[in-house]
Amino acid sequence: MFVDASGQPKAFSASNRAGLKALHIAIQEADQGFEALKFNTPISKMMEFINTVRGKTPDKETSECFIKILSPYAPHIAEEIWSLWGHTHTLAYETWPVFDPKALVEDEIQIVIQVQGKLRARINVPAAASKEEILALAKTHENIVNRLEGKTIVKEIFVPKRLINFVVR
Amino acid sequence: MTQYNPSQIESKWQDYWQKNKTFTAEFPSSKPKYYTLGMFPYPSGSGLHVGHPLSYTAVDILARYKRMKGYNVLNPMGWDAFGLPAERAAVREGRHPADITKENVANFKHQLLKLGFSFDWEREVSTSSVDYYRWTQWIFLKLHEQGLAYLAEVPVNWCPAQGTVLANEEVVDGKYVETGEPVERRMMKQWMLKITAYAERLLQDLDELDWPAGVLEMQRQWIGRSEGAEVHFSVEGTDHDFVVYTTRPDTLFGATYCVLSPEHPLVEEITKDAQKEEVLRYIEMAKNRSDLDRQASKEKTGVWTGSYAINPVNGARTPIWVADYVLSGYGTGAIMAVPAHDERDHAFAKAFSLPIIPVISSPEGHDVQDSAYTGDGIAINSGHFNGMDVHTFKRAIIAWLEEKGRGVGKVNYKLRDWLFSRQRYWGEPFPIVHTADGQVHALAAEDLPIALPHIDAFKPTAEGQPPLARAKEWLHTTFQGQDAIRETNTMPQWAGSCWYYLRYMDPTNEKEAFSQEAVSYWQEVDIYIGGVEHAVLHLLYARFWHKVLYDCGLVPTKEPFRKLFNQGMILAYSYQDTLGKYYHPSDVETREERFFVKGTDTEVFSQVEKMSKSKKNTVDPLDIVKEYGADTLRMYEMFMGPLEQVKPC
Repeated sequence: MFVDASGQPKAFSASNRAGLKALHIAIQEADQGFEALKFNTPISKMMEFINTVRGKTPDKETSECFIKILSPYAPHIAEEIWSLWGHTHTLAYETWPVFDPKALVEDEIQIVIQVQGKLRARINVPAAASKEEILALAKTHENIVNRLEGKTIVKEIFVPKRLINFVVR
Repeated sequence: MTQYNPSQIESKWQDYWQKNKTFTAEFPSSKPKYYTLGMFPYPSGSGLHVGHPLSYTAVDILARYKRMKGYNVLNPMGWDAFGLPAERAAVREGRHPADITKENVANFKHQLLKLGFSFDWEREVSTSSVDYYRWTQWIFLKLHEQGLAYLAEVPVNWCPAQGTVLANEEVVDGKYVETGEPVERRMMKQWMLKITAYAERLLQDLDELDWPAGVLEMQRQWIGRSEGAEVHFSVEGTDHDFVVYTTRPDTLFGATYCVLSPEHPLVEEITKDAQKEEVLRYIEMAKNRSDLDRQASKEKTGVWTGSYAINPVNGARTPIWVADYVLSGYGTGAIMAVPAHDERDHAFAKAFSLPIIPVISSPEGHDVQDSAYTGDGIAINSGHFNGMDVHTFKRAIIAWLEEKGRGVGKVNYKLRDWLFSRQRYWGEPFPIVHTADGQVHALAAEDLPIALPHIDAFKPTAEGQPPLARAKEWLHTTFQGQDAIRETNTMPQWAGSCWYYLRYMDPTNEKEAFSQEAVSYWQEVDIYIGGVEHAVLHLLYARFWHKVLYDCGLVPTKEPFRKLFNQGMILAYSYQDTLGKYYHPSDVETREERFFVKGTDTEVFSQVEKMSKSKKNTVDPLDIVKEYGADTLRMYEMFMGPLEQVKPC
């Protein structure tokens, strides 16, 4: 991912939300894990990061942060990649990445809309949207509008960040 | 396509770190400190096994993490080099233990380097190096100064064939486990350290430690504090008195007989003529049983002395027996026996048809004639104390005894003083001399080090003297004008490991064990990682020495290890045939879901067990490093599961 077949470092790509989020999940797990002497769970989060960015080399900052948090476990390969990026000193005294909780916040979430329990539509809403805003938006969806026409909504089941189910009669 | 070549890249960086002294802990420093410590290894001939990387990798991850968080990290490594294994190897191979140790250390170090641990090798120490043990000897002098080191005649396990003293664990049924040779109990002058003087503090200060609950509990049990009472029994028809220690003074009314240990000084005095022969024979037999045997044995043995004691609480005549299930070293060497409420006393009473009288109410259906009741209840058959609950009763009866001058409330500990001498060569000599007038003298700090002399044979002398007695030139010296001989016992392997974490703080200091500047900065160990097998002894001994140094104003903290973590053992599949013989996994094949020794009809059965050479299921970590690289081994060992759990490999 970071180094190509001939041993040269690959070019960094543009920054990417999903990669950034996975990185900070891993940083958080490492911080909490090390204080509690749990060393296995940070590794799984690092594996999830790798899976999230698979196929692309992340941006410079994300890549460097990842190598830093990898270094306590696998110091040799970490030093090697660090030096291929042009650093002339060991990374042993580099500053540990600071966990940013904002990176974990999702921009948009997908809500499933059901009528009578049957899936009829999906919508993407801002993560910060209120329940009322989301319900209003759902009711205007073309697949929903005709199903609600002429009917009375008996119940609106709202599962935050997941689904809405309109029970009608 | 270039494959990732771990061995090339890893060597490159290991060389870089070594050349640039990347992991040197700086001192002095304005940065905040962090002290990570893995338990240092005994450098054995077989080198690392997979369990070592487990704890050292954990330490390494923390050390590297803390460095990147801006701490000045002390992450040292060294060798617990003195001890019996090197001496045994020396005898076997006909080489000097110092040479064997040097080789083993070089091998071990090479293996640790290959795993990429970020140790500060500038601070490497070895307990068998004279620059190190001169300070171990110095600490012994401090203990001696504080009145905490003394010579005592203690019963030891003497094996005449080996010409040496054996530990309790090495003797079963009066024989040396390795050879089957007979072992006798003998009295021998040995150095003791008065760890019992620190029992209460060693117990109390456990509450301040961030240690696993299981380890704290093991330490509490080992210290074994009990609140009870000493009670005076007089011997009928004589002027003699003896004192018993009991944790159940509330059961005094139920004491139907008393027991003296075979070593109790009163035994010979109070035994009636008719019983003398039987009692003397019994004492002789008991001499050869170890404390462990005596306590563990299901079968109770004993002899009546013919005499009676008077129970101070009700004037009852209680027969006095001699039995070896009472140890002379615990309490007072005498007990009052309450068969209704103590299991061992019950077994004894049943064996010898002694009366069983309940004095604490037991639950419905529990007949004390069948088995002892050891729980709480209400006093019965106890005169004017009847009706009290156990706790009130205990306090009331102690007050009554104290008032009548027949007893006193007392705190007792299971913890015994620490037997500190060994009759071995490969250990620290004591800075002690014996003058011709029979006096024992501690040398002065200026006389240190007392270096271990070079000798060619390491077995005890023909007269049964420790091996150091062979060094005739070294042995003889003078003390203040008198002729003197040096102490020929040596210290146990625990000595070096009691204080090594302090020496790392200032390892090359030739004037002091560690400077006040260094210890004021480094304080105590922030995280100590190692196996749970050291839960009691090493950790307790280190805490004891640390507290003595604290009392001397030499260290700033009451405890050496702030936080402790025990890594789990690594398990692996082992294969055994029906006779119990083990086979290496590479010699085993699977046929129709059963296991057989390759090319034979011998069926073997697999189980998951601890990795060990005798079970033929060890994996050499260096083999894995060769094939996959150190980074991979480190990741894998950390990924296998939570660090404290036991894991199959």
